[in-house]
Amino acid sequence: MIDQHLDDRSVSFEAELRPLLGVAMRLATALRLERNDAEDAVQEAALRAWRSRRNRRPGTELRPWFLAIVANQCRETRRGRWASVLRFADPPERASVAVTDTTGSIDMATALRRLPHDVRLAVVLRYYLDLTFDEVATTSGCSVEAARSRVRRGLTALATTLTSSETRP
Amino acid sequence: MSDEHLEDALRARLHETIDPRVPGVPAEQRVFAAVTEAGRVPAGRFGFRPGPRVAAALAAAMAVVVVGGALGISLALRNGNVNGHPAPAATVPPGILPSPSPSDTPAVSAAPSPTSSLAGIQPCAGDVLTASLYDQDGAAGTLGGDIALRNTGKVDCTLKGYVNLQGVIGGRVVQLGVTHSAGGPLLNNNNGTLPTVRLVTLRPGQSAYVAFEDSDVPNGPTPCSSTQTLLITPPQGGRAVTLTRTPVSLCGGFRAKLWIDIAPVSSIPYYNTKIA
Repeated sequence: MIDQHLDDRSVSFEAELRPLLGVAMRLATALRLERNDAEDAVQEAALRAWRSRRNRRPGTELRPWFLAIVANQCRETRRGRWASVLRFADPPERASVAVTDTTGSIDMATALRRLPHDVRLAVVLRYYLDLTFDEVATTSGCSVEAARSRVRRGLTALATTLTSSETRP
Repeated sequence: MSDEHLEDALRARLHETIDPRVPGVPAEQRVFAAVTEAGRVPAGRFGFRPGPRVAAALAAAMAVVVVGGALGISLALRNGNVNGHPAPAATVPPGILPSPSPSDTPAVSAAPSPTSSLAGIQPCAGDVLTASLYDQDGAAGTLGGDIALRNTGKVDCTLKGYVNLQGVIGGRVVQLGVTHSAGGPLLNNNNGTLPTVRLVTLRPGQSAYVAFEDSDVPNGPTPCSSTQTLLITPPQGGRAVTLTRTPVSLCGGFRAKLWIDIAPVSSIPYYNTKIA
């Protein structure tokens, strides 16, 4: 029977996960800087999370746990050679959406791509998702001091881009 | 530039750069549908799960195959031939007698179809039928299965046409938005072509099948609902048969709020993915 295949914990997990998909999409987009890659990464991360849901330690909050999986998925996708080779057709509603880049956003995207993954993750979590340093540390899997250090390094690296575009006529 | 000013500028620039690229709500729904599907599919059934772009490419290829196949079958049936030969009779288990298939037009309907029966054999009343979920199948956002209707009486009886379905939501019996093969073939045609309206005669202990398809992805502003209980009225009317402990997701579709699509009663299961 169908109810034999349904697991109450799975249903509860899905209900918990759903509100996090929006922030996960934002995180993945910030790390991958490409809409399709971001959706793929979140889908893979969500399935990973679902398969690993019983491994989550009791008391562990779902949000940082899931965002860490998303971040890892983005890093692995970035490493994979096939990620830069395989390209498939877009679903219709995505193919019709064009991203209009301004000069400033192109500069920022380029600057973000140059950052090491850990630093970029810390910057995005802190300044794009507005997480506290404690949350940045939990999601990044490092100490709070290390999280502060990464954010500082990222801010320093991006300062040139920010100041140069601010002075651009 | 002070640190505070730098941080504010960085926040603004990050939003300017990233926000236009963030996938929208449909992407979230696709991801959620994939996770929901993972919760329904037994572990190990699929070793490969495509990403959205792979899925889109596969879906496009499958659409070509399905549409092409349906056109070919339609033309063959119109000519009364399959591959140049006369169309063979359907294969059915012993004791279940199919009748010639009248044509049927997809339509939204909430009422059982009036039907005829073989001389001397009465239509199956709800009193002599029991219902169970025989099998199930699913894809992202779409679910389906076969409901088995078993003749528990002591004499033969007949079923022909479409059943009616009601659900129990919030303690109240509600009419579902039943469509009849509205989208063409149901989601996963594992068992050949979609059943057509035929007279099915059930000997005592034998079962007939009703294939259904429903959705668990919201379509439009109306939120989805679900029911654990289906009330199945036989095609010839009368008392409904109850199918309990079977969660069915009900979302909008085909201009119905609680949409579910069904095929006519058939002597063989459509999905043919037997549970247990």
